[in-house]
Amino acid sequence: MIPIRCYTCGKPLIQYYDEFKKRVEAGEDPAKVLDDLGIERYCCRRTMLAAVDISKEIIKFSTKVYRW
Amino acid sequence: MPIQMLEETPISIKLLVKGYPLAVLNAIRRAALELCPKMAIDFVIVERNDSTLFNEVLAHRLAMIPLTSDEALDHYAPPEACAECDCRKVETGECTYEGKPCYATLYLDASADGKYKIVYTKDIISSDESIKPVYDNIPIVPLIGNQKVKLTAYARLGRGREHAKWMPATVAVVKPVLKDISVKETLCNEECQRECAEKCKEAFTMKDGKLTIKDGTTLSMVMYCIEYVCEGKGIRPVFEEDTYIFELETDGSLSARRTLKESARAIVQKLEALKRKLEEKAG
Ligand SMILES: [Zn+2]
Repeated sequence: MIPIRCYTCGKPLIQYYDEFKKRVEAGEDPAKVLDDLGIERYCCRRTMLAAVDISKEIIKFSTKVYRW
Repeated sequence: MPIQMLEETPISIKLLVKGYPLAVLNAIRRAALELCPKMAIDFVIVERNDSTLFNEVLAHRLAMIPLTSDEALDHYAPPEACAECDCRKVETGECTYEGKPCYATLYLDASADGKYKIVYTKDIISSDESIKPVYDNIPIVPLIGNQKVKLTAYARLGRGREHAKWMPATVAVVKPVLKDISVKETLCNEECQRECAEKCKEAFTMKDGKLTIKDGTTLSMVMYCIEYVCEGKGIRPVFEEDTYIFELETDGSLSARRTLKESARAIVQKLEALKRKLEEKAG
């Protein structure tokens, strides 16, 4: 899971992540997408650019749950 | 003493302030960061957590979620009132101060039902209508298979000096307004100044044989020049006297206007407390 807020300034960022990821994967320029989303400070921009969500990869290896 | 509004959105505010001392503005700025109260999840009772995130990580993520607290400021007990409370009293709902409750309760109960699923803030159920996550689509925890998360979270008012999750402001800045630059003739003669103007056409221009700044030149542009090009020898920025730009941006839990008001109120409260203490000591 990626962090909820920017490490440096504390602006909540994660709510933009899904849209950011979708648009960048579709081939848009990340700088333009960040501008569109209203993320202007460079602390927030680097948090957003550098965030990689690996939860989907590691969740496969989670312990199996046995109900009791 | 006029205060001019330059920009305003619900979560950010930009003011041009004239005639107030820097100390006052800086006090308000710092109060916005560490004294203005807001709502945040304080502790979590986890009933079931099968997810890949540990309880502590989960609790931390929950605490980071901004909660709407505009109304809560009036209806909930002040942060200091809750210092003596313990968890047992909170669970039974006994925790009150002068008729006001200390804690708001939020419930989260989610299960994956056999497939990959992300639990969002919209799945949180709040006991109080006025306290809910500001954003609906903040992912909290991923689930898979028959994993399940069930927890009760307790939110209370707090101040930023206690923990950063209670900081309503993300940006609080006071900065001076650039008026002009002064050039030391002995270190930088006209030829040297012309060289400056040629090197940086965006910021500088020559006027009557003297180096001046263009319209729209910012302080950071001039400071870059001073630090890296001229190395502080010749140019120095000149600021407008007693004029400052005050910028405030919040994380959405409080409006920028409310944050400003509450910060000012927090300072007044502090001053009054100091006055009371002094009077007590003096007798
Ligand atoms: Zn930031």
